[in-house]
Amino acid sequence: MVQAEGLVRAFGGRRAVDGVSFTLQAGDCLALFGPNGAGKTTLLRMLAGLLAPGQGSVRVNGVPVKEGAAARAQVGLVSHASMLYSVLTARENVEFAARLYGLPDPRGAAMRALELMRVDDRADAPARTLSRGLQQRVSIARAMVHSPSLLLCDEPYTGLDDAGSAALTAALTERREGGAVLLLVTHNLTEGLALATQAAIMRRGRFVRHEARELLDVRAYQAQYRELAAVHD
Amino acid sequence: MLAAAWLVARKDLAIEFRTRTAFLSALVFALLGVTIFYFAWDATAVAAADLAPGVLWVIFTFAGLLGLQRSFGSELADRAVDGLLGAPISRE
Repeated sequence: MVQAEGLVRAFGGRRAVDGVSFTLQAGDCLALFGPNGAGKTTLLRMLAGLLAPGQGSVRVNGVPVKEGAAARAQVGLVSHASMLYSVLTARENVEFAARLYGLPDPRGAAMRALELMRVDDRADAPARTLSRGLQQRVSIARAMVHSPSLLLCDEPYTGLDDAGSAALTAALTERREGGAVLLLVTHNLTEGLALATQAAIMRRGRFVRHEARELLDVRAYQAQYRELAAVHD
Repeated sequence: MLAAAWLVARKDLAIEFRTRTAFLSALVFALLGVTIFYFAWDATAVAAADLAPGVLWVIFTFAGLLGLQRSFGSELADRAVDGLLGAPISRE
């Protein structure tokens, strides 16, 4: 279970995240939409423990993220950046992450994660020689290698071809059905709502809409989102 | 904590063995340093034995800093450092 309570984070005088609260149970997937600069990435970085909230708190399975390693061990992050070492091979990158998370068979875990993202045939290629899409697959494998109970995905479909997108959707579905909590940031409503159990629209650091997926009128939701995304701050 | 430090050091060494950028930068800096000190040194004013320890420490320190900067550069590229910060290891 993930609980975020009253999260606030300001940069200078501007509040990038302004009082965000939500609770996600095991198996939930929150699809988070919002225009550029809405605060989505800042929110994800706070949930991952990479950024300390100015106010509020995050708990993952009851453990406050600010308490450190025990909470971070349960979180996986797919970011805008690949978070890969360009000189190391795909396998070495994922294996390094597996070792950081203290997995008993890091090499085996790395290969399984690469297989899951269908990039195991390029396991021994240095990350710098891979295309953007393949790097994204390796990056996702890296985030999933320790089977996190909270998986944070910031635009994970960016750069993926059809096969990569299908592999990612299958992997995310499997994780969610296995009881992991997913938070999916995307601009693509179709992709986001396909997996979601909850949906939220963020603007100016706040959730302006947040409801259960099953209650949504998708067409009205899409229209409202387009309207919100078109308004410049 | 030591296990995590060793893990990160081993990764840095693996990167360095493949690129040799930090080693080559440090080597070039060391050669330049020795050359500059050689021409700037007045043998009648300071004995070689008195000058040598200072020269060595200057070269060790700045060559080390150069290597550190190169190593940290690989962390900042593609935000690999976020992977380290998000991992369940000590940040201290």
